[in-house]
Amino acid sequence: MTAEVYRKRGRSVRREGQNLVWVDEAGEAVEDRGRFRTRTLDEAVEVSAPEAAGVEAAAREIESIVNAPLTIERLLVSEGVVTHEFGEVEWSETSRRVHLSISRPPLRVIFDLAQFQFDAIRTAAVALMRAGSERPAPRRIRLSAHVGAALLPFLAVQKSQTAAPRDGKGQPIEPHRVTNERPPNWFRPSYRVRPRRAWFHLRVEEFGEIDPGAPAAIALLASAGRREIRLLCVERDAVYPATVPMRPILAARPAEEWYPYGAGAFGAELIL
Amino acid sequence: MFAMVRRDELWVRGVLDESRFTQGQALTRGREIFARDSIDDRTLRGELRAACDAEMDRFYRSIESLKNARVRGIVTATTGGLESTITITVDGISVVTTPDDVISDYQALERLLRPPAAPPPARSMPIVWRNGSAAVLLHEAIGHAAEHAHSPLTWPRWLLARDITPEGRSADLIAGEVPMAIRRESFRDVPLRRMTNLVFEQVRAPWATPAGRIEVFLVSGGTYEPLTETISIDIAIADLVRGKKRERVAPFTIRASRAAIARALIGAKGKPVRYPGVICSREGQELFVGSHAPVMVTSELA
Repeated sequence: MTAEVYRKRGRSVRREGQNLVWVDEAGEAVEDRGRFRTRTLDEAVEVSAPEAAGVEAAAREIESIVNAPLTIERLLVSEGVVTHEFGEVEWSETSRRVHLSISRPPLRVIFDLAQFQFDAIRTAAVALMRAGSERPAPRRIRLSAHVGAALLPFLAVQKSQTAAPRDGKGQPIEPHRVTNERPPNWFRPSYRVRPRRAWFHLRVEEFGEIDPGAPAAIALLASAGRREIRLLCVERDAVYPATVPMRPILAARPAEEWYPYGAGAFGAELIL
Repeated sequence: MFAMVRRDELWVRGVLDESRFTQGQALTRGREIFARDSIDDRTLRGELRAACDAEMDRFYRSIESLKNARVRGIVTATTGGLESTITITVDGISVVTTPDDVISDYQALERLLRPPAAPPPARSMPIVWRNGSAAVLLHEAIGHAAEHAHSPLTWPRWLLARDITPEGRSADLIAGEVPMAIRRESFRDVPLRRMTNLVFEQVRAPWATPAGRIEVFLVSGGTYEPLTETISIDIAIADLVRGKKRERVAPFTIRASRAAIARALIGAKGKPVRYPGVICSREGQELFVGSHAPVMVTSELA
């Protein structure tokens, strides 16, 4: 078996708190007979520059949404331009990411986004201002699409891999029903990380009926777990935190927006 | 200007499994940081590489005999100095150490490993924190609270808590001083005020060994939740002791507010013991923090 050589060259800019961080990197990963080696290529990065103005504007927009008594606990907004090379295959991509936590002690809402569109943050910020004390989990709850996306990688529900140009080894990502079998594609979030098999760009398959009158979970209060999830819930005029145990999904409806959970997940409105 | 060269290797049962070489520099101008994975100053680059390679040779010599463990060595040479850590994992339990201490820490880990014979206690019990493990508890309860500039609490008068930089600058964490060092994991990261080397000491503390107690030897993780000022400590290796009977208990987690921990800290004895390592993660940056504490005892954490 010949060695597999992957190279990545990229430029990124990120707003982290009040800092603006520019990073240029070019690196190589080699897998040879089970051994994984990476190194910096020590070369000028010939990739177009990301747009700092867009990143700064997005960060400012988020800051304008979050008003006292809410505070921004953590804010990262970034754009990256990357070229990949695996054997003879070359491809490129531009990506945007937002990681945000907004606090109002003892609560914190968290967001991971791949677009500079902040409607969900606006809704959650308004609700967090009015949040009351903890309540028991509602009998039925409707998860907003961005909340459902966070659960999708480990949710036992019918879902499919969605087509995309390339995986971490330059192979096309074909549509595929997610099964318990080994995923056909490879996920490589960084050249410094050994690639692993993963299902890409998960999309939930629609079933059942989404009850618009059910209490709504509009934001995650902690990273999604396999056993339970901490959610900010809205029920008529009340806003409250609740811990919801994982239980069977009663209905699902896919959404168009993509989120950076696992190797990618599309929004999923769910009744839980 | 910050520059660094890092070598990172993973050895599994004596065989090299993964290796990484990283270098880079970061220039700060006002609120902007310009980072890239090359170092303009060729002389500096050569010096950092040479320092890194020499330390890697020491790493190789230090782990030669460790054939049944998973061993990860990370050597980082920066404009601020050299840092070298080794993480040894046996049967899923890890310690973090240095080339100087790797053999003794590995042998100590081997002596501690045995399967649990009992479930964790159903109710809270006094805990004796051995092997320097109280440093992890107080890292969370005092160290992180200080990093977040949270109001100081009333701790026992016999307790001293300092964070000491490699240059010898010291912060009194109980008095509410923040750690002196500004640290970053790599050239890509924003430097932050972080702990470096924690030393907890006791001066004429009371001591009484509870007849029924948990004795903690190794901890697998800890967190400080800044919004609620609560601590969570994952206990990896501990014994349940009742009179003369001693049983290894399954891993368990302790959760308490830092105020509850301050109230529960009822005794200590001896000089600070080096705990084999804490990798502290904050803002996505993982940093080694030296940790030392005497044997300590806490009453029931409700």
